[in-house]
Amino acid sequence: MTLAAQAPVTVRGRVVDAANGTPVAAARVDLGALSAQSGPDGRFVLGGASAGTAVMVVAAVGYRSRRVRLELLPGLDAEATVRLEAMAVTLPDLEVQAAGGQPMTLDGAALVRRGSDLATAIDGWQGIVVRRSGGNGAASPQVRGSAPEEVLVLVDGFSINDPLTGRADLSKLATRDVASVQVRPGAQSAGGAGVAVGGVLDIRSQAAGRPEASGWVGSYGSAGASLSGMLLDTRVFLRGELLPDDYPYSVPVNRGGGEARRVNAGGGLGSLSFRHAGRFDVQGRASVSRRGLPGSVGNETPYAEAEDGAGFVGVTIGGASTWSASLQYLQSTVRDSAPPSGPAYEARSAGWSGTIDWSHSRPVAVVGWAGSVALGASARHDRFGGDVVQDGSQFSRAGLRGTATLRPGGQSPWTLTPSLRLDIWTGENLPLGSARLDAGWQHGATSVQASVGSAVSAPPLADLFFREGVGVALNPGLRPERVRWEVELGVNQDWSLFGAPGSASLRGYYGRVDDMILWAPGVGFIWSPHNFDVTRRGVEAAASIHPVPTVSLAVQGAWTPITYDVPDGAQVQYRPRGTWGASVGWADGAWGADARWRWVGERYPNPGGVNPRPSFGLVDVGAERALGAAVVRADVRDLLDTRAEFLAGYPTPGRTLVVSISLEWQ
Amino acid sequence: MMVSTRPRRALVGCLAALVSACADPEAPLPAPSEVVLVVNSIEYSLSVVPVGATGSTYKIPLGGTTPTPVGVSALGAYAVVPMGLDHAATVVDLSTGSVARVVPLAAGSFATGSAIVSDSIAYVANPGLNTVTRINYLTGDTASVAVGVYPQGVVATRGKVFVLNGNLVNYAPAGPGWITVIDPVTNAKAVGIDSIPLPLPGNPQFAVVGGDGRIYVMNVGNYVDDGRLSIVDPVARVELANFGGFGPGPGNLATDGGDRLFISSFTEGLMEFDIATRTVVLGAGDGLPIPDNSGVAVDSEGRIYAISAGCGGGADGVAHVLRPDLTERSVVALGSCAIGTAVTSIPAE
Repeated sequence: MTLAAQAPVTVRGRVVDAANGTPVAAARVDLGALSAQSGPDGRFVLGGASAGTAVMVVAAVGYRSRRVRLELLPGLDAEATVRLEAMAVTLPDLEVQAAGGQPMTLDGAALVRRGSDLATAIDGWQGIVVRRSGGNGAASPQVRGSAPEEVLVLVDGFSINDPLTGRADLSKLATRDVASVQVRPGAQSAGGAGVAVGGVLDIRSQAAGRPEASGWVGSYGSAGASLSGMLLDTRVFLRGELLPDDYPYSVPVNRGGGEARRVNAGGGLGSLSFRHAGRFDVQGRASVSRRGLPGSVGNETPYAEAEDGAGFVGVTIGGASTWSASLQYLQSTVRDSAPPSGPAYEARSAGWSGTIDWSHSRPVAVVGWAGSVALGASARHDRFGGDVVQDGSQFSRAGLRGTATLRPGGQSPWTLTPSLRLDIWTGENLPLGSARLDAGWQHGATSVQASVGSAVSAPPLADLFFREGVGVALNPGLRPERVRWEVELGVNQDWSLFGAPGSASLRGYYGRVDDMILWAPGVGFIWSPHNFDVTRRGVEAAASIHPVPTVSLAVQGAWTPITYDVPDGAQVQYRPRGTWGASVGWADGAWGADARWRWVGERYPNPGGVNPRPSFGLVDVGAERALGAAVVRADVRDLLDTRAEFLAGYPTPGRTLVVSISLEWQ
Repeated sequence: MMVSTRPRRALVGCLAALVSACADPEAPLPAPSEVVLVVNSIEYSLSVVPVGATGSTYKIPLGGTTPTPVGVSALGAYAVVPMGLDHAATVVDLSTGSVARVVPLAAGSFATGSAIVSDSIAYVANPGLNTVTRINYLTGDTASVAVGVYPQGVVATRGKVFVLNGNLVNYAPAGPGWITVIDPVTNAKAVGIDSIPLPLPGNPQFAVVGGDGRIYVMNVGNYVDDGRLSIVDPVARVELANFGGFGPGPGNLATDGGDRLFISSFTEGLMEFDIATRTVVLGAGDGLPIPDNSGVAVDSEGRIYAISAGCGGGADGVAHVLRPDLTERSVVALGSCAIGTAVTSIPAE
């Protein structure tokens, strides 16, 4: 045998959905003793394979497993694209749960059933709490007691966090434009995710699909429509929506009690997105919105409104090395022609944000361990001006990162994933490091994941460069947020009860967060962003079962104490300690029905741990019927008319009926 | 055999009634318990500090939606807290330690500053409406009357209500402030002089009745220029004199009922003014270094409670309990952003 015949082979590939070509993340790829998991872009690398004929097995939850026969030639790398077919019966609210630092996924069909926009769809899922600025305002996720700006939200690898506020508005993302969403909670800065000290939401947009039109009408004047299809191998998605307005709410006792109508809560938004998938993955989004700013129920602002406009274009070039770049423009205007106090105002801000990113992965073998290593570098520059921030406010940042996925030789159940990231930004003289080590063990239907990590995040520009005014002042000593350390342990178990498949997961974590940024009054009651040390820990549990193939049941809960690091420190403001949920779904042929309950525990509106806002539970129910190419669906949101308010003084519309119809052309 | 206990209970009841009926009518009433009240602005609670047992301090949540209370007034077992952004006044029953009622005020009131006039009547200033509201805090009845621009403080003495008009426009002093005098009987401007001019730098926010019966008003100003203390004669309804030396942005006032007037200041700490000699005893630069000194109160024993605000992050406020010689006696934990104070004696049951 020649030396060349013994040369190992590297198999690179991509796992995609056979129907629409979207990447399938977290697919397990086995080739003999080698194993890998596909990344968010569906790509995987298997290093050190032996030449010859081999069978590669690819499996992913929600898809039929596929066996691929490979002829591996000595010393020559192989490429493979594996197309997985979705299972014929789409189980209602199919969720993928995994242990430890592994991502949890909600697929596009389940998302559509849970709401028309992503904020509604993921509220309450896996302990995520969506915080809305008012009933219909911008809606941003909180993960594990984080602030919304601590959660990095990626769409096809590009951050959609507002460069100014640091928050991602999920209400502007339509679920019909989303293929899947994954959540990776905890300190995730090191794993290539940049500034995520609370977690990462990894969203994959639809890259292909049949033409579809949908529309819906709901209570209190709400309505929406979307249109999608392929144009020159590019998927185009168009959406418009009117927000509910003039809905009833329960007047608090200090305002006399009774019932009143919420005014100036409505508005409208429109968006256009496109994506051309391929070696050059080009995508773009544009959105405009006008939303009323009704104020709190005690301080109504019937003439206040916000107008936003945004444009984004991003390009990713794949290959052994991946390059990506993006450019984003945002502008926002807030005005009130007759505020309840003070003079009329109009405040405008606008700015640009540009990013560039490079990554390269290759197989490695280290003293009996084999796997892959990925290196990357990124840079970003933001520039804003206007009335809200100081003109010409600029912020630059750059980062270097490295991640390895290693597995011992043979049939070892172990995986080890060390990650390291260094970031530097305007105002910092030295790079700040984030590190993480994930260890996984899998045997049969049981998997265990343990991790320890740290993370760092720059303050949002809005906290660094806002314009000072009456009662507000800059804090020149504001420091970046840091997760000094966080440990996590999780276990996942797939099981079968009298033949009914199910799964359960349990995760626990404990970490110290230094310098969490919160607005608070200081000397003379002047408000500024300040740094506070907090401790976060918690337990997250979930279980699901399919008692019969057409029915799914799921329960989940999260217990999230996050307290100030002082003796008897109170729970941080607006972080519910407990969130619970349960869902049931049924699908049989052309019919389907589902119900969902989510409960949000008490929230303190202040750092004193008194005057908690009451907990609330919401019940949503829906039913659908396929009629040829059309699917007709009716939903009742907040069936029990709870009229919950997550933030004090900002009630949501309560019981809402939504009827939708979607048409898909063959 | 079943034995009924009712006759025995009835007998005990009769005996108790007899003993009660025969109790000595001249026996002294149980002593009232004196407390210092402190409003915790950000967490909207009221800390109740028993002066005889400061270790038994407790909080009363004030409820509400998004209030930012900054002051409290009290008489006997009742306290009134204007609820700022909630446009309401919360009445607290100190004998039960709970909110007795919430009195809604007109939308846009931004209720700030209050004074209790009698055992049922309080006045609350509405800076957003340029009015004050007379509240029957036992029934919740209200009636409002127009005053000056941006009323933000109220003090009652000599049968009249004196309203501090801040004269703020867009939260900044637009000129000197003044006092509007209200007759609580008619709930209208008092007959005779109903307006008392005050000096620059303007923004009168805090007032207290001194041991000499005069009203001491702090003109806070714009937090850049030095504030000035005005002495007002409530009978002649005229400003008698004014004094500087308190640095920028002086705050809450308290008196020991004698000659000592204490002035709190975020920047200067606790200062003192001698009412008898009309001299600044501890002025700007010489203040007792109380961090973030947001308020001050004096109990009947002459103990001084200098409040450190303590805002956010669980770094709650504290009351530095000082002896009359201003040495520290103890420290009492309060809530978040402690600011407004009042002293009252809760009658025994």
